[in-house]
Amino acid sequence: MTQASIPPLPAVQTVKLSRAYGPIVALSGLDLVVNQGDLFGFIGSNGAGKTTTLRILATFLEPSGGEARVFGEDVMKEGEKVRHVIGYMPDFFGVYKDMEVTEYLDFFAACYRIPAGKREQTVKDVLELVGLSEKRGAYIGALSRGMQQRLGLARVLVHDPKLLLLDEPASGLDPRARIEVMAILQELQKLGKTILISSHILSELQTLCNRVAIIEKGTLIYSGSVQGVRSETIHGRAYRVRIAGDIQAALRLLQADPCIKEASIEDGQLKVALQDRDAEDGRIAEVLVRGGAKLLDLREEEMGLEEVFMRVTSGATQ
Amino acid sequence: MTLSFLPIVARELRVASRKKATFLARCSAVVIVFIIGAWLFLMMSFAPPAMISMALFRVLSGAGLFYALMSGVHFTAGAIAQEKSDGTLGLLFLTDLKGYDVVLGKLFATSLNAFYGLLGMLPMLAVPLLIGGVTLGEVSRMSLVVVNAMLFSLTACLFVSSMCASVRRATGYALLLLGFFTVILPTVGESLADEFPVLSELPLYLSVSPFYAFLKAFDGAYRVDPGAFWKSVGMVHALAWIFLVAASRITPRSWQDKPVGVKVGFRAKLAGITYGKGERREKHRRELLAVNPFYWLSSRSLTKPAQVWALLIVFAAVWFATWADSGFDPADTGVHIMTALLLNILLKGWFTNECTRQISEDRRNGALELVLSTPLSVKDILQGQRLALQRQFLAPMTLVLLVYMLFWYVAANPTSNSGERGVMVWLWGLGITIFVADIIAIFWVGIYMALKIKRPQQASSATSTVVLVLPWVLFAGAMIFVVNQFSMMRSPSHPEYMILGAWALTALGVDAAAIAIARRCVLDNFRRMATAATPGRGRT
Repeated sequence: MTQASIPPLPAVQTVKLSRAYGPIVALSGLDLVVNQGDLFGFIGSNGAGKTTTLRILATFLEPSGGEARVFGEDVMKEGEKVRHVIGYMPDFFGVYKDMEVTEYLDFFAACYRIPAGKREQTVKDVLELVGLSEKRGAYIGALSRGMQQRLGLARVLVHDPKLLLLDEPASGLDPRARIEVMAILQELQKLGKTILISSHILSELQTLCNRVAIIEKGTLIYSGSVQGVRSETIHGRAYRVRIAGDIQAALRLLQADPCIKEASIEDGQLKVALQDRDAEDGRIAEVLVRGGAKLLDLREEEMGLEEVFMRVTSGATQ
Repeated sequence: MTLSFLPIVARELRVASRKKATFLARCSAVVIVFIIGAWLFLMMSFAPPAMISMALFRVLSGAGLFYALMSGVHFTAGAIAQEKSDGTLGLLFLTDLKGYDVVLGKLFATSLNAFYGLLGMLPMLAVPLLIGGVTLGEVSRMSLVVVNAMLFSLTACLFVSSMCASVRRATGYALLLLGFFTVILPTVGESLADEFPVLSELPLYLSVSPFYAFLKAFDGAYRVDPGAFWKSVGMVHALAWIFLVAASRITPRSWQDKPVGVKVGFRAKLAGITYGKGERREKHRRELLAVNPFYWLSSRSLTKPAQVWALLIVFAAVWFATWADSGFDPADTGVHIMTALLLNILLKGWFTNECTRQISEDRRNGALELVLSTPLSVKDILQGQRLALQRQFLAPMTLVLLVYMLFWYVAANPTSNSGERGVMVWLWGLGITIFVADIIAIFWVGIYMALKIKRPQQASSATSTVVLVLPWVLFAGAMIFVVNQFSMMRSPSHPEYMILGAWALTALGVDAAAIAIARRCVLDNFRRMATAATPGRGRT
């Protein structure tokens, strides 16, 4: 996505958003911006405040402080307008097991005041989009978990919303179903939808999302591009070093150097972290060669979203 | 490692001992029985003590038996069914727990409040003993009957619960099972015994009824045939154990998904009958969705209105059959009042259940939240619910009101055999007004309770308590106060009008207050209450 295509009005904007459940503070001054067209990953441990944020945006919860806007509309003051433009899929959603798939979607389409004449085609289209056309006459109770999840996705699409708020849409799904759901989300992004998705499956968010936010204890730790997450959150770089000869002696050399924050042996290789980003890469090689170690290979460690997440969060909840 | 016998029972008892509700239930039962007793005592203060005592004993023990029988419906009918519907029963059986662990645990957990309530009530049965006219034997036997009936009710309803996966269905079947053993079987048996004398030689159909044991507990009946009393108590007790053992055996097998077969085919057929098929089903959906989406959601069943009509037809058939059999005077005021009372209980009870069911179940499973994420307003939801109830109940209730008006007309007729014509005219006029007010109050309180209370069945019970029981308790309390203050019953000029006025005032007053408060709460807080944390969902 290019910078030029980003419209001025953010799809979601929260300013100092906070929410407390009695003495428990779930959100504390959250500032978040999701631009139109983003496929935005919302990451955090259990209890970090992700669901609370999504429920405030979906107009279910009143914030204790601050404000939340969807396409410029205040979610509390303009709740009805907001509900027209969002499609909210909670982490746990009830289905009417004794309803047929088409009845279920037809009902929600009617709730969105889609005229009767248009509803049949709408239902057909969304079922096709999520790959459930063959199940249109089936009872919902007879669908598998993955299919019910897809049906949930179809439900949020019946009124063609501009913003999708998806809370753990892939939880409990098998790998195939998960990949299929992610593919649908990518397809939806291509159709111009803004998607705010909370998920624990970080490896998938890494490839799926163009922007992410990391939240812990109700506070934002990072918000920005997926590529930037590592450089902005991890202070210092990590390297993998392969040497010939006495690895223990090499380890002692590294541990004695003040520029090196941490050194350890992992899988027969040295894992080395520098104190800060400005430290020179050549420092490791210099220390080892000067100490007489035979250096075979030195490379910067590839750090995925999962590893970054583990490093920057402590896993604590409010 | 410490081994503990019946671990779930131990845990549930510990939990219950820390709950306020456990103590509240016991106190409430005592207060209600005390008010009823005091009211009756003061109402009859002009009568001889022996008569007061016996009347008091009959009313209190009757109330105790009713409470004991209903406790199963309220406390245990949904216990296992709810676990199944939440999908949590299977988790228990993945551990080393046995069927009896779970069933006894559920029995203790859910029935502790009921039993404590009964324990609070039983000493009140001894009050007539102090007045005189009632023997110690009668009090002891009656206590035994009531405790036995409670055990029977709790286990019978637990047995039903072990076989059902829906709380609503379990409650319905539990009522049916209790009604079968308490009333239907003895009545049918008695009517058949006339034609088949062999039945009367071994009247098991009577012995298995807790109500039969109740009738045989009084001195008059007991002296004639003590064996009949003990046989009935024994049979009811044995049935309770049979239900308990059956529930323990069924529960471990009932939570697993069944393979596709006869049962699934039957369910599909049942769904076809309930919701219709093909074009008929689609037409129904199109028509109702066009009016209000929530209207369709609450009215998907095509058979609901017919079910209410079926109830009225069965009621009429039983009424006419009883008339033909016993030859009572159909123009008698007492018959009219009894008919109206029974119809009121049946219709208002059903209406209460329907008022709370859809919203309560949808809130519990999270479906209501999805509806609220759409632009459908709270006003739309309430209108849809009202239309659904109208579709189901308006015509049958209008017919019932017409019948009441007919009774009113008969009471107003100068040739009526009613002794107090003026009082009866007022009674029917006020009765019809209160019926309508009750229905409106049930609607608002029902929706409020559905949003407020965790379980659908409890929401329905709470609504009945507020709208249907509370006015009677207040009325009794008011009468006690008036009689104490003014001693009017000793020198009454027109006490019957005063009683009527107090009855109408409390009933309409409670209705008006309930409507005003519940309506305000629902309109102001519907969204907040509907999306608050619910038990099955583990949300903050």
